[in-house]
Order: sequence, then structure tokens, then C-alpha cells
Amino acid sequence: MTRTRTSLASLALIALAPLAQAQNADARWDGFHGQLNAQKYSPLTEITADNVGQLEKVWDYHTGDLADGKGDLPATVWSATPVIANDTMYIGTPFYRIIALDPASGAEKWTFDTQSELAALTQPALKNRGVAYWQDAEASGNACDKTVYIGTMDARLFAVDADTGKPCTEFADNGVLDVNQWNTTNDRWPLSLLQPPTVVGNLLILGWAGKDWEFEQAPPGSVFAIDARTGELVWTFETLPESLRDKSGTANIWTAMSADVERGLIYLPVSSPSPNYWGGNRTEEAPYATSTTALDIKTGKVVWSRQWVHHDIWDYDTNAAPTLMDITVDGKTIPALMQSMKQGFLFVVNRETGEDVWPIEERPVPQGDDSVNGEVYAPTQPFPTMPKPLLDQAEKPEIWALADAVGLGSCSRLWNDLWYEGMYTPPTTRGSGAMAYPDSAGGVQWGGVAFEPDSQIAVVNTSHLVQYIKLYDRGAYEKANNGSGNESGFAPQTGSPYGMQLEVARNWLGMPCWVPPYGELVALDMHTGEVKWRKPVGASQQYGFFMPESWGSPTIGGPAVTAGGVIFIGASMDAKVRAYSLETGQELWSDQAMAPAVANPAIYEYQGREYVAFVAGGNTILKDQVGDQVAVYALPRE
Amino acid sequence: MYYIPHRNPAGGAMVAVSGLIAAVIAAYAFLMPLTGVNNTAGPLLVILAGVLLIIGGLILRMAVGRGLRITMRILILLALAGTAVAGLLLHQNLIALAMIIGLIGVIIDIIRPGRTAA
Repeated sequence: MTRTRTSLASLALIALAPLAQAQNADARWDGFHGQLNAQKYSPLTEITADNVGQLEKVWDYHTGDLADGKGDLPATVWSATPVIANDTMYIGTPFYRIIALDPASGAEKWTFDTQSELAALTQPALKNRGVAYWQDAEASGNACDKTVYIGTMDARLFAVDADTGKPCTEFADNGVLDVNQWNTTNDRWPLSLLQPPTVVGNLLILGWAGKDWEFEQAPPGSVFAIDARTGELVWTFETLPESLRDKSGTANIWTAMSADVERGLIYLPVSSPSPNYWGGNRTEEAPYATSTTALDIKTGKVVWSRQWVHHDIWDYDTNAAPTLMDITVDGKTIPALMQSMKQGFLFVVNRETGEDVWPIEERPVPQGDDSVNGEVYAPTQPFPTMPKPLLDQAEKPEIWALADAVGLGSCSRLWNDLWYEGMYTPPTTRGSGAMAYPDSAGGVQWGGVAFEPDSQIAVVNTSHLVQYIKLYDRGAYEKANNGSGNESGFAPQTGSPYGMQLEVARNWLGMPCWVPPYGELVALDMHTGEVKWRKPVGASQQYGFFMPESWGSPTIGGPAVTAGGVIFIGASMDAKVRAYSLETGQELWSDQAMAPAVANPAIYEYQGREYVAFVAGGNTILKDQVGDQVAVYALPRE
Repeated sequence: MYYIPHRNPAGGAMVAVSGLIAAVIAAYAFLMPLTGVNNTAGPLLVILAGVLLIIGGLILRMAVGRGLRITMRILILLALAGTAVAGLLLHQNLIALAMIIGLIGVIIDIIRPGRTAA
């Protein structure tokens, strides 16, 4: 009898063993933003605001896939949030490799190399934002019931078995889908797959990236839904009307998407049409450009769409997956969606209908100065009334006296020479151009908004950057152009009458001309839309010198939050990773990473222990520092 | 009777030692990963300042002319202050602490009076 009991107990233990080793099913982090609702939220509570200060690095891993751009390879820009699924951490690298790691130790399980061309085909750098994971709900025990996908800059999507890293031969052409086969209009460059596909049920939803600053005519922003197992095309959605597709282009989805599986909707953050800073070729309506557009997941048909910038000539791409959140406003629970923007706006609408939660007003905006031929300006633009804009766009930003003095008055002279009539001041050919504030790299970037559902607090990082845009007619452009960089410099907008220049407003020493802070972390009470707290985040750095933390830092990447009341974020110039109190915004912990951690952190539980993973890959928008580090932290074992 | 200004070896030596410490710490910060300032210009600037402090300390140690000594003290004080600020901005606080050694060296060099001889 005793033996029988022991045997039963043993059987029970054997049966439970896989469960004990499995991840916490309620704390999924199997997508780019953790979950399809893009909340970047973990319900784990082992790490709290009280003990996060004890956090220690338990392992780190270097992929070896990095380049600083000084050799034969372009620089790497790595923003890949790890995916944790199938008891494995999967990461994609900017050399377009997949690496599978043990989540507890960082030990390598397998790697897969796409052997993709390492060339800057559409971007100034080799970029990757990670991988996607799909698991067949009706698994048959065959290979590739669990699949990992990685895209490449040359427009190929690779599918490999999640257990072995072997190609999935059922998928497209022996595990490789050539997405460029669908690049049939203005195919000037490949449809670069830098962002992993969004996995919804058995569909992969594919957006792509390109170079919308380079040409007037570019590939139009198609979105492809493909079968996750076979790679077959299920539906296509076109963001531009038929009449605009050949004479403009882009309005693509280059960032992550979110989805509400229960409601059968996928939400597309649609970017601006090409070229970025002149719209004389696209004066007719393009209602889905620079929008959030909700599609029926099964059919790809539009359910609702809200355009956030009419006739976008500022490169104000909708650049982050909208965050889906159920909020209680005036005692009523609303299935809401928050769309963060480069302008520092946070639009909140009902995600079933697209209707306003708080009023979004159409307000008159500055019109042109008659210096730009062919342009037709939108008379009004949408402005959210709540939450208030994260940046004050009403007036020219104040000049930083120290930078002006060090620059011997260069900042004042630049300010006087820049045209600014508030938000949506259009580009001009006159003077030094028009002030872009917030600029295309400022406000909120692709990290988007994190949301803690119990307290209904939304958390977002925002940059305060001032740039200026100047248009040049063709003759003047050829004389003025002296090269371009990432998010700054010259771009030809070939085919259009104007080339353009976009520069950060700095003095000769590289000091910003405007007053700090340069970046903040903001918490919002979503019952009311009011700011709960806002604090400078990170530290700016120049030539290695750290500036005071009260100045904050521009940020790329975003936060993650936990039920333990902790916010985790890297994102800043000083390449530190930090934890903040969700309640107060107080910094609770930090550690130095190899490079700016420009991906959202991933939070997961494995074998009963809570981990926080940062990818420190760097981004040339912040500074020329690259990294190949995955750094994983946990509380010490007792 | 004439003065032979006293050569105070301790003050100049301490300045040189502070420069050496600063240069070593800055070199470590430049070369080692995860210092937050590796491969940046800031630590290189501190290494240069450290080398200049070593040279300055040695000159101070050997200088006999009053004018040269005063000039060296002023230049060294400026270098100490600048290096300390640079160390703090690089988050390498030991560099700033090392500059205190150099400061004490300059103070010793100032307060110990010259000795009359011959």
C-alpha cells in the first residue's frame, strides 16, 4: 500500500514536472510587446518596489553580431525585445540570426543563420527588432508545430522549428518566404522585414520598412496576412488609395501592431506617405496614412480608422503599436486604445468603434509661407484634449542660455532664423528652415505605452528634441548636400522638386540649444487622463561625460511594468537600465549595460523565478555606441 | 648671502602621483567594458590631463625660480580642478579623490617656506 502510494506520488510528480518547469502561463512574454495588447505588463510579483534594489545580473550573453560602422559593415542597430516561449528565450540579431537560449542560464540551445546579405539596402544601419513565435493550437506532434520567424532587410521571412532551429520545409519555399514577390509598384528597394511579424491565431501579419525620405515614388504600404504554417497569402490590405499608389508610396507599417483577439481586430499604426517632407504629389485624401486603422483579423477589411495627421509632411509616422486597455472613466468601463505619437500626443479612443474617449478636437494649424510649390496644407489637425500633450508645442522652446553662451550666440541666431508658429509649422525653403518641435525622432518612439491594469496607470517615455527642416529646390540641394545620417542630415526625395535637410538644433560643441530636460518618464492615471507624475529619465552623455540626471536623456525604446509596482526601462543615452517605482516615479535601481538598451525589457518567470531581460544594442539616433548584450537580472537566491 | 629656494620634493611628487592615479583610472575606464565611458573621448582627455599633471608635478619638484613655481602652481591647480570635474562627469569619482592628493601637494609646496642657505 505504501509502495502504491509512493508510486502514485511519483507518477503525479512526473506528470507535474513539465508544469513545474514551464513558464507561468499567466505571465506571457511571447511577443515583441509582451502581449498582443501591447501593455508590456507582467502580473509577476516576486520583484517589487521594496526589493528591486537587490536585483543582480544572473547572466548575460553576447551574440557577437555587432558592427560599429567603421569597417566593411554598416553599424548595427539592435532593438530586439526577447521572446520567451517554449521554455526558451529567442532573440533575433542584426546579422539576421536566431539564437535560442536557456531562460535561466543563458546557455545556447541552438542558432540559425539566414545567411542574409549584411548591407544597408534600405536603412543606414543593419537593424533588427527580434523574432516572432507561433504555436499551433492543434499541435499534431510534427516538426514546426512551434515555429520561430525572423525577417531580413532583403525582404525574406525565415521559419524554423522552435525546438531544433531547423527550417520549416512546409513554410513557403523550404522555410523561406520571399515577401518581395509582392513588391510590384515602385519597387525601388526591398520590403525590409526588420520588425517581426505580429502573430494572431494562425496568421502572421507583416508590415515592412523602407526609406521614405529617399524617393518621391516608393512601394505603397501593403500589409500582408499569411498562413503561419504554410506562408500562403491570406489577405492583403492597402493603406493608400489606388490613385496614389504609383505616384506616392509607403504609408507602411514598420513597427509592431496590437490585436484584440476577442473582438477579432488587429490595429495597424500606419506611417506617413512618401516623400516625408513634401506632399505636392499626394494632395488628394489618403485617410489611412498616419493613422491607427483597425482591421478584421480574418478578412483584412477596415472596421474603423482614425487619422492622426492629415496630409503628413513632418514624418510623424504612427510609430508604435497602440496599447489596448480597459479603463474606467466616470464609473464606466471602456475598451480603450491609446495611440502614442512622435508629436508627444496620446490619442485615446474606444477600440471597438474608434470613437473618442476624451474629445479629440480639429484645430486650425499654420499654413505655408508660399515658398513651397505644389503643396496643399491641411487646414486643421486633430489635437487630444486629454491626456494633455506630453510636450508644450504652443511656443518655440526656450533657448538654453549656457549652450547659447558657449556657442557665442549661435543658438539665438538659429532660433531667430527658424520659422515656428506652433505645432504643425510646415517645412519651408526660407532661412534655416522650419523648427520641428516635436521632431520626427522626438516625442514617443516605438516603445509605446505600458499599462498596469489594476491601478490603471499608463507609463510612457518621451523625448524633448528640437530639429529643423529645410527644403531645397533641386539646384540648391545638389550644392548643399553633404551627406546624411540616421534621422538627420540630407535626403534627396528624388523625383520631387525638393531635397531636404533635417538637423538637431545644437551649438558647435554638440550642446542642445534648448533647455533640459531632454527626456522624461510620465505616468498617467487613466481614470482621468491626468498626469500622476513625470520625472527626467536617464542621463544624457557627450564624449563620455554624463550630464546631470535632472536633465534627463532622449530615449529610444520603452518601458515595461509589473504587478509588483515596478517600471523597467533602458532606452537612455547613458546605457543604463533602470527600475522606477510605479507609484512615485522614484528611481529604485540601475545597472550599466554595454550600449543603450533601445528595446523594451522582457519580464518572465521560469522555474519559479522572476527575471528581467534587457537587450543592449544601441541606436545611432542616440549615440554611436553599439552592443550585442543580453543582460538578465533576478533577485538573489536565498 | 643669497637665497636658494627650497626644493620641496613632497608637493610636486604628490601632484605627479595624483596625475598617475587619474591616468590609470581613466585608462581602465576607457578600456574596460561596462564602465559607461569605455571607448569615449572623455577618459582620453583625463589620461592626457593626468600625463600633464605628472609632468607638472615633476617640474614643480625641480623648479628653482619663484616665478616658475608660482606659474606651475596656478597651472596645476587649474588642471586639478578640471580633472576633478571631468572625473565626476565620467562617474569615476576616484579620479576626483585623486585630485585631492594633488591639491594637498600644491598646498604643501606653498606653505613650506623656502630655506635660507649659504
